[in-house]
Amino acid sequence: MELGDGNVNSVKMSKEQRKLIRKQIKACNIVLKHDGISTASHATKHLVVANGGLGNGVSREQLREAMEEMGELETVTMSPHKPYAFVTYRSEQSAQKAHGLLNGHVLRCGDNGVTLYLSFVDSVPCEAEERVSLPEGLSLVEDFVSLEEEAALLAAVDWSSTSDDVTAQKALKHRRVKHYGYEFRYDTNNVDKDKPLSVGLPDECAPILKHCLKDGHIGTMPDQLTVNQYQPGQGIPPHVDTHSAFEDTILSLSLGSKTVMEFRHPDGRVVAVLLPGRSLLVMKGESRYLWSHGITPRKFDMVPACDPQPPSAITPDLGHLGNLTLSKRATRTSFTFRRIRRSPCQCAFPSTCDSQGALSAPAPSPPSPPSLPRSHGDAARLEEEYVHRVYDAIAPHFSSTRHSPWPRVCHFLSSLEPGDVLADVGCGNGKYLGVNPELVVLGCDRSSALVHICTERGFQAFVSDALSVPMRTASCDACISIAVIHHFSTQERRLAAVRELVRLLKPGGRALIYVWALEQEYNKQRSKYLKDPSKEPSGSPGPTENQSEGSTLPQKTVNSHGDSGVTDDGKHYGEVSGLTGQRPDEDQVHSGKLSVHTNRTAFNSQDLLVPWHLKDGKGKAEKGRKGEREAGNFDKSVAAAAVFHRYYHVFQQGEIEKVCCQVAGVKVQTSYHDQGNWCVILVKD
Amino acid sequence: MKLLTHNMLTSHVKGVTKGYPLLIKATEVKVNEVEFNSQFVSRMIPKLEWSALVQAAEGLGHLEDLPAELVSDYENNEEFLKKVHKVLLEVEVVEGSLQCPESGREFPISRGVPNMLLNEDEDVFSGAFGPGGSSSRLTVSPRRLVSLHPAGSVWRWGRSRNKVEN
Repeated sequence: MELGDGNVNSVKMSKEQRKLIRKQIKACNIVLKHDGISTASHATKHLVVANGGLGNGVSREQLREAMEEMGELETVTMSPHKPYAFVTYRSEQSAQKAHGLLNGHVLRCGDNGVTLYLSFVDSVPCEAEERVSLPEGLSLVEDFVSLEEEAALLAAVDWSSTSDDVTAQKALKHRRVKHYGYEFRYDTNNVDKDKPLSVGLPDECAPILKHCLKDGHIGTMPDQLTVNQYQPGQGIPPHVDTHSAFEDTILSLSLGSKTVMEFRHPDGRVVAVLLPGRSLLVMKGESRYLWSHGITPRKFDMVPACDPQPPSAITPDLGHLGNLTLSKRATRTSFTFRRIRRSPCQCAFPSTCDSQGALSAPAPSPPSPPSLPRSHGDAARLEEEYVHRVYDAIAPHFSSTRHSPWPRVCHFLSSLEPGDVLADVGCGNGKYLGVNPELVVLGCDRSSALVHICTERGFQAFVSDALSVPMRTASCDACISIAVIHHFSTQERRLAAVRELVRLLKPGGRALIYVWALEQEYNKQRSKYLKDPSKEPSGSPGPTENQSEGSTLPQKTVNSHGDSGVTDDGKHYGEVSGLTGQRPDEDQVHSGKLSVHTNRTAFNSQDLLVPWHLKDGKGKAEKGRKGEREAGNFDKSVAAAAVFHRYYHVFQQGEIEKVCCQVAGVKVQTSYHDQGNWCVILVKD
Repeated sequence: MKLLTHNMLTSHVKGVTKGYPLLIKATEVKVNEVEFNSQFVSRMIPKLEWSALVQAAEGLGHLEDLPAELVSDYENNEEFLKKVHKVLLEVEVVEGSLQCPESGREFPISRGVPNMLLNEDEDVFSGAFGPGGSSSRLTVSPRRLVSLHPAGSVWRWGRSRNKVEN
């Protein structure tokens, strides 16, 4: 550059030349005004450099080099296509020096030169920067809460508490988390909608939420709160909040230190959004359903230096922007308010929607399988994790595979009198609730997702545990418990489940119980569950790997009237007495870990985890599996993400009868083996 | 939830002796037309707790002039059976709750489904068989962290996308 010359020239400038320059500056300032830039009459440390912009062909390096001669620079701001630039000096003195010496200076760029005209400005306007628009549906409200409200909210979170809800508070590897209202489970990526936490949202949130309602950010009150606390260097990986877990609008209140949150669109667009302290981020629509959001773990953020600057979208490649500064992170606490979703999500973004089959639910596949429970608390938690949560997660897919009622269950149902009251305890998707329309039928299930499927089909059903069914004692003429009791993980609980069925029966009432059998091959007949070796030549997967508990019973009526069944009955029951006193699961109790069963093979233990391969729910299951096989190289993480494990206790021959015999006031009328299940009919005295 | 279902339900809160009938607190009630079948209704009547039905119907403003005492010879009284049919099968509570008359415990009704689950501390087994709390843990607990942050990796931006929750 010819800065030296210019410098000398300007010093030697004549009075006339100076006058001309002042006139030109005035003209420039009028032009700048059209761009919303007003110059200051007094000296400041900020200068606008007319003709020194990218639109004049001046590069950042060229301008910087010229300006640095006058003193230490803080920032150089150049916006695309603009015929001016801004420079901010560390001191006002340097800016004055530049103003005095560089006005009228000709900067050479390539073959041409540009004459620079400098004026003071009060601040460097951010509007001068090319803005990135916020993701659709995203808005940011600055100063949403006062300092007092911020303090009250922060004080409301008791991080030291180790009370009852230990599960609701976790020190995740990269941040501290606490849940209110409902716990968000990081293993299932969902909430347990049937299990509200004992602690609701803190009272301190009420005024803030009312404010949100009043301002129209939300239409209904949130019922779930997650508090995250980030120390400098901590963050959260990019994610989309699980669609099936929460309704549309998500509110995130930032308290304490500011941070930068990155939003990513599946097409690769990235928008970084500055979240100042006490600001409210409102995520709706596309920004909530389609864009992921996350916070990069780091100790400093590059943020625009100017202030204020709503809405704070900044481009991800911040280095190319002019007016930036480094912001040191301190402790930031975010309050994320959400509303639990009660029905499947029907958003317009199926690619990220787990309700619409997207595989966003992670795998509850245990790297270390659980052990058999040693206490009732353990048993309840094992069943919670390996039965209840799984059924809720797989409910739509599970239901789609459960459409054909088993013939011998139907036979039992049609043997009942018109007007009889029937309880189906563990009714699943309700496939038996409508078999005999002359009955008064009530269904119940532990999974609310499945119960809602029943009610959508027009049946009466409620959510309940089979150990404690909220129906009047002796109110039922009949009960059925089909493929339920094998999910209880201790002998006491299996016994209690039978006892509860019997309690519901009137004297003379009958209960039909089906449990999965250890013996999948019986009387030289292999159950349909087992892979047929003659039809499966090269070890390829069977028609479906999810068949369990005899679900492969053919739809045509096989065995509908006890042909082999009747003879089986007497025979089996005869063997039962000999088993008294034997404890079939005693071995496992001492051996520890539960084993994971290989679908469609014989069982090698009585207590096990049975995988459920979740398909994408769009009828593509078969196609997808083929594709996997052909490619031979599918993403293992995707495959793993779709496997859930359910706990089962498969019953030995005679075992269910033995359990039933321990219940007073009831007799085993018949028992039989039906396609890999042990079945009994009980009659109450 | 139809009143037929309500008539069968009872509170199962531990220790409660008079848990029937449950009080209905409805915020949304609808009436759905259901095909009338006089035989079905008259077969159902002996299975009911009549006074509980009358009380529930009255509470919802759908008494339909049902008498406090069950009439005799209702089998051939079609007018009466139609009223019972309406109250039992056509009136449905969509939103609200069921409250245990003794303990006050409320069970929510959402989209027509009563959720009668008890919490762990209300469980039939808690107390009777030792701790129902979370003092003893299964060996599975560490995997929550493992699945979120695979061992050895700091952040897996690409693969963990959409999988972790704020």
